[in-house]
Amino acid sequence: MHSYSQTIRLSVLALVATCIMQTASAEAETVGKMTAVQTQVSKAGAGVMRIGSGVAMGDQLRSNSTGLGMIVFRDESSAKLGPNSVLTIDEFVYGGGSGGSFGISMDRGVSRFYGGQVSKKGQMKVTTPHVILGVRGGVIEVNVSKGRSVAILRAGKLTCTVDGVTRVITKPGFACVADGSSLDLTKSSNSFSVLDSTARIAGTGTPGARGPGLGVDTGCAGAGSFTSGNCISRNGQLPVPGGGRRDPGFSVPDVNRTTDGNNY
Amino acid sequence: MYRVFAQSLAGFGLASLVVIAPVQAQDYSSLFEQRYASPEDVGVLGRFVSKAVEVGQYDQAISTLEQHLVKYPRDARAKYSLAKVYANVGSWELAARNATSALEIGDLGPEDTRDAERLLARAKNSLAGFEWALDLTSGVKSTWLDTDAANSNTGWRDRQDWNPFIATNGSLRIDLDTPLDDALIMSGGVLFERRYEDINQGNFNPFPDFSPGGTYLHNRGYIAATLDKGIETTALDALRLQISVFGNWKTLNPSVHDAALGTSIRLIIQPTVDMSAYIEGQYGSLFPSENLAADHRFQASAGFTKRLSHEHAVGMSARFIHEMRDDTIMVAEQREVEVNYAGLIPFQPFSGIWTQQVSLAAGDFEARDASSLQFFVPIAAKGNYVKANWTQTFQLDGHNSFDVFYEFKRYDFTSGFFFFDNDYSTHSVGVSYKHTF
Repeated sequence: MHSYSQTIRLSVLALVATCIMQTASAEAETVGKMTAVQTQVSKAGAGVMRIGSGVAMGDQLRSNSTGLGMIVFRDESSAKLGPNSVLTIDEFVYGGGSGGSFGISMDRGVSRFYGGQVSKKGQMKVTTPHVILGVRGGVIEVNVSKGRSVAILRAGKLTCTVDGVTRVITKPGFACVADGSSLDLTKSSNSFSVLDSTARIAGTGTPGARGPGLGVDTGCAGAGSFTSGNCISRNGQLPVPGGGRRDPGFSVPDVNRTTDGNNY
Repeated sequence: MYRVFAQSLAGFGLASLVVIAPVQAQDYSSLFEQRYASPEDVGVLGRFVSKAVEVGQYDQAISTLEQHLVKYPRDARAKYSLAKVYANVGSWELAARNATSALEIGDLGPEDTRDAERLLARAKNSLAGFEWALDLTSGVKSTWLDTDAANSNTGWRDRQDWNPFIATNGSLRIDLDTPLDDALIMSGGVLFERRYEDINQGNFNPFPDFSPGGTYLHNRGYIAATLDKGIETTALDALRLQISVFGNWKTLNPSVHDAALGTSIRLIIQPTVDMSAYIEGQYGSLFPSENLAADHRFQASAGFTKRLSHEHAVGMSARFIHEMRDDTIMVAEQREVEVNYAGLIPFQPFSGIWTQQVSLAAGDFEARDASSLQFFVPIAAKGNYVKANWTQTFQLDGHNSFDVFYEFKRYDFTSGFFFFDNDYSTHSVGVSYKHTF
């Protein structure tokens, strides 16, 4: 009897321990979650996603023809999934400090990616069937359709690699276009405005809500702050305090420094 | 001299620490956790956007605003805020698109509407390939001169001066439409300042147009054309080359005008998102100068800035200047090393950006025959100096800012001709106002 009850206790303990381990494992694999969604985005094998639905490594996310969704990852990076898109989370290594790596593959559709801590200190990659994209501290848009990929830099720095050849873009509005064998850099004529939240709710045709007036108008979001060197951020560089002493929103070479130290 | 330098360093260090200390506790990470946990809480999103902008994490501010706009696509304030943040990162197409959308929705107040229209106009100029800047600065400084000992040869004595000044700087950036953001930048500026003909106000008079005790309108300025070119690199974040041709001038006193036509090459290295370094070489031909003994000026400099956080950045630079005559005889040399700090002032009232800059510099100089106007024999001087500057900049908005500054200089030098030591210190305080158009 004693032996029987001990066996039961051990079994229960083992079961609880297994459950705890499985739960911990499942939590550890959750690398982000859905923070906004419209009709509709789904996860392979898990159905339609809601706000708060977790995203784990290996998950494949799909949107329908009116789908729009935002996923935020633990390293603060995020992705805005546009209509008819397919994304897979391939890799996510982030320990909260420096470095880390983040890889997403995109099979089709249109999406906007926003860099987080990994993109500033480690490696953030977006892989399409035609090109490998590297994101440095910024925002890019990617469209995969009709046998080619178009990636537009919106902020920061973008690298595009095809067959070992890497090209660099640091000017917002420029794009790389790849079809798997060739890679061209060009000024983008695409706007991908489907990614902008328009005045109507996607898929419904009804006017969107005016909202509570979320905004910020202080410091570097104040009127005209983009003319201050304190606020500008180019080439993926973070803004530097005091950078506005001489620069008027873009870098002006200092060819007038005098020996008596007065620079007004 | 080094004791004075050490005292200055300790004083500025202590003052900076006192000012820096309260800024350390930041809650950006906890606000992100709240954003992550409560993605539909508008209050949480608003606080995170404000903090993300405050610490320069613009991509986070952008993604949060766009997340909010998925649910509220007609939130005009969110769209206008988004336009401003896109402008900060130079993404003019999306800045224009969001500003236009915000104006079309029509919920902005009169002031925001006017500012959104100005942003839109700026974005359109930038998309057309032109960015420009023009500012006007005026101010006054007061300088106290403290000579170590009144010198009978020169009559130098302690005194206090007032120096009002006015300056303007402008630049035009012409986009060359390349993936690495190459541009041609035309820039120029001029400054006028009331100065005493001899800072020390002695009775020594080596120059024909010189009247001890009098004042004159010191002026200096420059004009430059620069090719700003990106260099493709994957090993670093960014690499840029700036090649300039320039002309600059300054009046050293009513008789001596220093003017140069020259060229400079500057390599800017940005190895990470928070560090920038440069190395530069510069040559100026001094043939347009009047009554200056040197014919050529060479300058080499290097430095870096490291962003420690959004609140603090430190830097260091070194500079070497060599002036010589056509026959290669050295006329003057100067070496200088500077360390500097820039940071946000802990309190940021009135929706502005308040920063402070502290710099400490030490150097030595040697001048022989600096002017062709010395009487009888050349004047030679050799010595060293320290300088300290503390400037507080109160940027009230995108167009208006005030500077309040204090500057200390200490010169220890020997004049080879008069065989006396002329050591003196100056303390200057001043205030200036800058309007950016």
